[in-house]
Amino acid sequence: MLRFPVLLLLISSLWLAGCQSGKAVADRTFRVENRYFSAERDYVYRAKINIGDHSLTGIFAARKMSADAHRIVLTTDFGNTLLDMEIGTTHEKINYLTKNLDRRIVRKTLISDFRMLFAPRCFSDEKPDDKLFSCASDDSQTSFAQLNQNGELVLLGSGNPRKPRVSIAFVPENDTFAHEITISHGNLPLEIELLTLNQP
Amino acid sequence: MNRSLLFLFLLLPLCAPAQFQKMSDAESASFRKSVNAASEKIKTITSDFTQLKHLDFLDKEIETSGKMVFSEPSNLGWQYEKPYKYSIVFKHNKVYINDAGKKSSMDANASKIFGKLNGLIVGSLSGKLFDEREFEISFFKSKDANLARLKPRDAELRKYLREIELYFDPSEHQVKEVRLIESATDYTRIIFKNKRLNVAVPGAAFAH
Repeated sequence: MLRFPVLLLLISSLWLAGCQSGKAVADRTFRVENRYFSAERDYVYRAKINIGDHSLTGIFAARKMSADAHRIVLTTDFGNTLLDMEIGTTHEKINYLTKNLDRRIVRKTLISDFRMLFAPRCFSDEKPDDKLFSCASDDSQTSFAQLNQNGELVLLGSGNPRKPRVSIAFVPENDTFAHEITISHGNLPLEIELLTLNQP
Repeated sequence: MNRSLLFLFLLLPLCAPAQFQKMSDAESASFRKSVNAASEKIKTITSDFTQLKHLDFLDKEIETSGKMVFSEPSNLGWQYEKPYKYSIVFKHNKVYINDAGKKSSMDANASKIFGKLNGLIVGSLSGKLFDEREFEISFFKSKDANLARLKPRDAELRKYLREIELYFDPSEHQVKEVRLIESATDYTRIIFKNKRLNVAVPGAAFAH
């Protein structure tokens, strides 16, 4: 009775593993760096969050705190903190989340989005160029990416590239700084737009 | 004692911020009376403001600035001009937002906190915030300013604001700076400049 589900599980696991990599992520030939939040400096953006028909504006501040941790704070335009969290590759710590946002699905989505945003690199067997190519990060969240003609990262995504679960589009100023970032969701009516407030 | 440590100890008093002393009961009562008398005369306020958000983990404070306009009984408008255009108007229990041309509105009563926030700002500008039922209040004085520290009694509001500090110009009994303190390390400062009282405020200032 149990054989069929076990077999199905085994096949699914093998199929997924095959789709994900075929070999260990770090053994892939090409390495694509995401250097947009890589310096230990202040990153300050104007944030617009569209949730269905509602929208919310405020200020998004982030900073790399250690080799594997970024701190993020989202405030209203008046300065009230809505969210304060620390994100690493395998850990997260929520310092504060305003009551209206304190829902399991919201927490999970934001943690996953920001983890992908800060992921320092992904690995690919295809030569990275200005077309979509598969690229897997250490935490396996990212599955595809795209560069522009200057070799700057312009897109990170998860899920199927034709129907991404999450995609993060960057408008680069250079290869270490993006002045505009848009996080979109394929399965949720949620979009986060970030526009730099940092002085050039 | 190590010489450099001794040197540091000697320097410490020079580094301390302006010292505030707690007012006596008589001083507090007199100060409160003066502020109330000054606020009774306020019908309108227009002012430039600079808002500085202090987050402990950042090197620099986040600075925004613009113009504020207030008209009795509780119309309040904030026009942020730098580094982005954004305005928020509190009028007749509604909140009107204009985000670089994109307009929206909401019922202020829909959010208890938004309503409280409006009341807080209007109260702090006009000095009518000394309500013992809402806050635990203490008064301090220094050479340059008088200070009122307000701790919210409402548990819901306390989740957002640990304390509000109102800094008053000692000669005019007018609020010159508001500090909204969220935690031991993070706060927002709103500094008012070029404040003008009781000048005609056109209705267009609160138009949406």
